[in-house]
Amino acid sequence: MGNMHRMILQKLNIAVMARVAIALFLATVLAQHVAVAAEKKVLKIAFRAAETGFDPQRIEDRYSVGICENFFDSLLTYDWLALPVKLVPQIVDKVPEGEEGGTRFTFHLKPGIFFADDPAFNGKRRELVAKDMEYAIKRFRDPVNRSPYSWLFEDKIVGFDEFVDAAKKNDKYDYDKPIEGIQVLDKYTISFKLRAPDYNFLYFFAMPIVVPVAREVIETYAADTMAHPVGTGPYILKEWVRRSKIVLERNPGYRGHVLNTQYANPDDPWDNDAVKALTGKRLPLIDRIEISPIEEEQPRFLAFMNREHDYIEETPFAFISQLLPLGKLAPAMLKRQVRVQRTEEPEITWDAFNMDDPIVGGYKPENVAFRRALILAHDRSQEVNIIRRGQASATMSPIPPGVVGYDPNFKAEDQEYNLPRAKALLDMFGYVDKDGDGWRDMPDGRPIILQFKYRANEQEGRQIAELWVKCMSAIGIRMTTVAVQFADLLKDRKVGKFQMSNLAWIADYPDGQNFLQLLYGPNTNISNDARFKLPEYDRLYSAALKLPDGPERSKLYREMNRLIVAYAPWRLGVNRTFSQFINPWVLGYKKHPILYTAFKYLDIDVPAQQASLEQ
Amino acid sequence: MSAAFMNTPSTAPAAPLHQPSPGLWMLAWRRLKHDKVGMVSLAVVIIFLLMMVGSYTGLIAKNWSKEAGVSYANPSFMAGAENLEAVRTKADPNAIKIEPVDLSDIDPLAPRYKEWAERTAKIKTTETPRAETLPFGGDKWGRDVLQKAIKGAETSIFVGLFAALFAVFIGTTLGAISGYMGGKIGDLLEWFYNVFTSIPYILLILAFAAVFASSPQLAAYKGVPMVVAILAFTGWTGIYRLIRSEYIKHASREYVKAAQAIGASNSRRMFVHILPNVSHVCLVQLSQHVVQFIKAEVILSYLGLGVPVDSVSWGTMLAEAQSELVIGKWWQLAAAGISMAILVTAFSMLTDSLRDALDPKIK
Repeated sequence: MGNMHRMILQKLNIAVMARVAIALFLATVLAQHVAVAAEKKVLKIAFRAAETGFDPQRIEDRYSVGICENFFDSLLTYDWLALPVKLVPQIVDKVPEGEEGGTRFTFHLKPGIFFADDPAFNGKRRELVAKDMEYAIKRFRDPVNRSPYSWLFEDKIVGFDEFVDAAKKNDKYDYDKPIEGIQVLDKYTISFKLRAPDYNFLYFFAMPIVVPVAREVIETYAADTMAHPVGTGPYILKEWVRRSKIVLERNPGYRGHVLNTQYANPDDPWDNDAVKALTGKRLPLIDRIEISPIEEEQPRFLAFMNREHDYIEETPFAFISQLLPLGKLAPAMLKRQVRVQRTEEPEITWDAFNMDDPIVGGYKPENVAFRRALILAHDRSQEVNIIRRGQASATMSPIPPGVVGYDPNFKAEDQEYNLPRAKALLDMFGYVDKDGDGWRDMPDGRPIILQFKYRANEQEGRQIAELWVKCMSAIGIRMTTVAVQFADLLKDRKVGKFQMSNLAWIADYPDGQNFLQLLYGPNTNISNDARFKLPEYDRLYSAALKLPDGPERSKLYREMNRLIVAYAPWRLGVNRTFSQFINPWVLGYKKHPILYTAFKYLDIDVPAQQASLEQ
Repeated sequence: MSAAFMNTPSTAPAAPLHQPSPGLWMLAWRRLKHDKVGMVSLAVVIIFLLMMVGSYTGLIAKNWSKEAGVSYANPSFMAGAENLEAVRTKADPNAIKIEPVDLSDIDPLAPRYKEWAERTAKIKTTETPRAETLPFGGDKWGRDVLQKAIKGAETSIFVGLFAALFAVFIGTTLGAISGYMGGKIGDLLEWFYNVFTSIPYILLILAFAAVFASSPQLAAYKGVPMVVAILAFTGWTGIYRLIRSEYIKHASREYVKAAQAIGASNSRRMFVHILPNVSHVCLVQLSQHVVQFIKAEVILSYLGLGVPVDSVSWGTMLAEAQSELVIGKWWQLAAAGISMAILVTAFSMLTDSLRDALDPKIK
């Protein structure tokens, strides 16, 4: 055998050798795959970024949080099919109504929900109780956890801030000490009292990080809670090789769930597929999920093309014209019966002006005119078509589609590219060339040199800056650019050390308030990077906070949108559209706007999967 | 300097002849003339330098930033090929007509709406149609990559040349002082040199870039001057070492002692007597570093620390080309890559030939 091999190899040229090697490799992989798949439904996919870990109260990146959706059950969740998204109970009996004017929310846990088995429970089955939720909420502000989401519960629940202050003073974070606003009324009931009405408080309880955890587990694995997620959800962590492999397996003790088809849209083929594939079945159906974080775009794309992965989500824009030329599936994809699902994410991008800046800031008519002129001169269609390769649409208001409060009929003409209007506005307010150097100056004669800060090491950031410089020079305004490291950029923006910069925000929860808070005056130095402080806007914002979703609140949102367009602290950017490509054997696939993973609602046609791999 | 040169051949070991005769430079030139590779390289380098001057003065590639073509316009010789990227930019979104929101009750500009509209009506804009093809293809904005490569050459060669000049200046000055003086000063400079070389090169560049970026006084020189300074401040070490060793060697030679005997000062001995005799080393180092810095500029720009976004260099072109290659738009990579390869190769060959010509003993 060995001899024969050598003889063959000597005769073949390199290219053929390579082909043989690949074929042998594929054969081996295939054999393994088939052997495993024969017994189980196995799903293999990639994530576009590495995870950090699975301690829900310690993480913030989408990918880790997305995996936690499968280990833990949040009290509430989103209906899988309803659009716009709808809050539904997950492990509580119903979505609570806000009591006491929207300041009290009481949850009743369903009895008989058990945590996945774990050595920390000493061989006993451990039932989920209200105290577990209280413990998890307290963990958010335990300094040990350094939770990136501690702000959710700051200045929110009665007595919590005082509890944290006392803990700081005594140098002991005492989990046994009660908090006035978090009352465990009985084994299954927990009630929260808020300082001020907040109808979005309920959304917190649909976040996959605001989930009950068992104190025994956290204390047993105190040294590495990231690697020991023990929850009540459909999956458990089977294997974890940090930053390279995450394997989930079905939780054998899981109670099971079904697909609610009540809100399915009969005109949506994806909904119909999901209904057809999953109705009447006890979910989950997938036995094992293997996730490989692959940060490089090309290998992630090739893994899908080589059928190593069952679907690819958020396909890199660079490959879109290969898979989806002119918006239609490429012939090669059609032949493979691959389907594409395109989703507009609940996120926006924008370019912020620093409202405290002596050149671009200010609220006087001439300041407003200057910003508005810059916006009118900025050719956003080039950002959409060239920088985002057509995989985005120009946004018209700070609230993106798919988020409560989004208004499809809101069109801001003053955010549309219009060179003559821009020039006319600058001329009208005296922003003309005064010193004869060919560039426009301030009405008082100061020269204008704008500065745009962007993220270094990233082509997209550079292109956005390039577009601005180009557009500004077209109206005679000089602009320089500075590239800074991402961490520094975040820091600079927080403290207002910038003039103009590009930013993005993705919904934490699907309410417009999550976006409108980005311009709320008191949020300066927290999330209001533009440092926008307009009393009228702040008044509307506070008023909207006290209202439940409805026409009255929508009206306030619209008013705020109008103020944003009029005072122009932002140049509104784009809503990106991501494409998901799904192999035909994956059944019931749907990309949810807020929830990140679909494993709980998927099925696989195993014979078709194997047949394709054998091809 | 050349006058000083003509006086020294009799004492300088590098000059071999005793007859009243052509000087070192003339001899070197004669040797170089016989080196075909050297001459061709020299011609190429001169062409590139002329190109740089031409583009700097605006004689060529003046309109490089003009967006004459469609996005990723095909090269003329590929006129018929499908260009999916451009189709998209032309496509008209069939958006439903929505009435724009009325701001007049809250808009601080509302009182002047009428005047604004009148002024707008007076401003005319003409839109020139974009070409489907460009001579050597277009980049994402529809700019001609050939002109871009020429403009990019200007930046890259400028950076390479001036950074090398500065680096040679720093390295030679410090090397001369250290090698000639020795003692405490020499030790001090050696320490300084060691500190610089102990830091990994890229890290050192990043550190300098950070210092430049954070200092308000220096921030005014952002862009190309900053790149030149960073490269010069980080790249002088090798030159320093070579020059220092040359000076140690020369300091004890007879001609230097003779100069001392007739009362030449230290600085005169260092820079009038010894320097011409080691200048061939400087020259070779200079051309070597030009090549090195052109490549370093590419790396810097690739990392986003290089030239500003509104100018173009080969580095920024290559950085852009990285993502273009996947979608089959190879021309920007080709334009930047080929011109850079030609210049760098020619410069390296020329350096070799210069070394051979200037220092025949090595040959």
